Amino acid sequence: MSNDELWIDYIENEMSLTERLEARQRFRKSKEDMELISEINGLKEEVRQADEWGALEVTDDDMDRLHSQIMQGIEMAQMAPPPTRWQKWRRSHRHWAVASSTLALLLIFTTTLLVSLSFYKHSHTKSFQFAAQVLGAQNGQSDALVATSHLTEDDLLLDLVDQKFNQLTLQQVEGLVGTL
Amino acid sequence: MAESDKKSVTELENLTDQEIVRRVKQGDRKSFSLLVKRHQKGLLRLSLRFVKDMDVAEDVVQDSFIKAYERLNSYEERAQFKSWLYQIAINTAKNKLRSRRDGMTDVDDVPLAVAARAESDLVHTAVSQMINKYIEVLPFKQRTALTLRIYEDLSFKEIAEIMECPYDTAKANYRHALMKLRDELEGHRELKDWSEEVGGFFLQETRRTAEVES
Repeated sequence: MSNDELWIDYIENEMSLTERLEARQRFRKSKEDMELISEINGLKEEVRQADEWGALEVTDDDMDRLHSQIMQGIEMAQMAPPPTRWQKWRRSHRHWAVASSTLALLLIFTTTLLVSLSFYKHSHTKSFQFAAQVLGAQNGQSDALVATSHLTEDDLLLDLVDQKFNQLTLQQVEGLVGTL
Repeated sequence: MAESDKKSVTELENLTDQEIVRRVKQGDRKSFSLLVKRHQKGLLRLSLRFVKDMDVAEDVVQDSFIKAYERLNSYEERAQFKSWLYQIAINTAKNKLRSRRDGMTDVDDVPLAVAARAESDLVHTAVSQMINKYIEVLPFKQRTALTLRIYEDLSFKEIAEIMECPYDTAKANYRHALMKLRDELEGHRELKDWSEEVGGFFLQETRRTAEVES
């Protein structure tokens, strides 16, 4: 049992007499624990005293009026039929249902993400191949890269996508034409 | 009232909540009136602790009883009727609070001194106001656990039933609420010092420490 659980059980008297005596022995060894317990006890007392509604004075007339209002509402209300077996099952397994739904959603999300990434990668390569075909590169992709001073296919593709092709220097364009 | 009517009223009054519920379920709508009589005051006080307004609290009580009646067939006797009713009232109060959250007072706006009274009264008023405001801004579950434990004097088993959570979770919520309040009040050193000067609760703490030590 952690110290937090121990002091709350001690303060709230949620332990047997033997456990209580053992806990008291333990707390006596720590000044910090003693202070915490007395402070929490003091706080509880102050919270109790701060209760604005503890001494609520409501007259019998007020209660009768409220009672009549409630009973008028009840007269109009309809009792719902008893829940079906499936509804009962769903209610008693609600926590499991929430947990399994969350897990299922997480699985769907992860699968979708992986599929999207794979599709992106595939389409990326395809796009480059298409660009290379358009440029008419006959000696493979590496020539096109050398000619345009791009280190990777991705860089070339990005420039193409960004419509920066027309920003290539004359030398780069001549180099590219030379590879065709 | 006729003698036979008086007798049946007395008989009804001796029935437990569960027995009355069974009668209502069998179609005796009027018996529900006794359940209302038994629990309306407690429910009103509980609702007031959450919504802090008599009119709104009365609405909460009325709505809660109507909801309880409508859903009575889904009430299973594993939990006490009172716990089930409190659960409905707390959820109803929570919804009311949600709809009027915008108009809530900021903790920093709470005036510390309100009138010329004895200093110790002033300190207690100030500390109480501060505590109430900090209770109001606690996370709802912690606030519920604290309210049910300290003000309604319920066991953690009952609190767990009302909050629909395990026993340990109810206790943990209560513990977190106390620790949060303690931390918040630590930030008001001047109030603590003032309280000690006039014999406020921090002096009671010292006395208690001495008791535990002995």
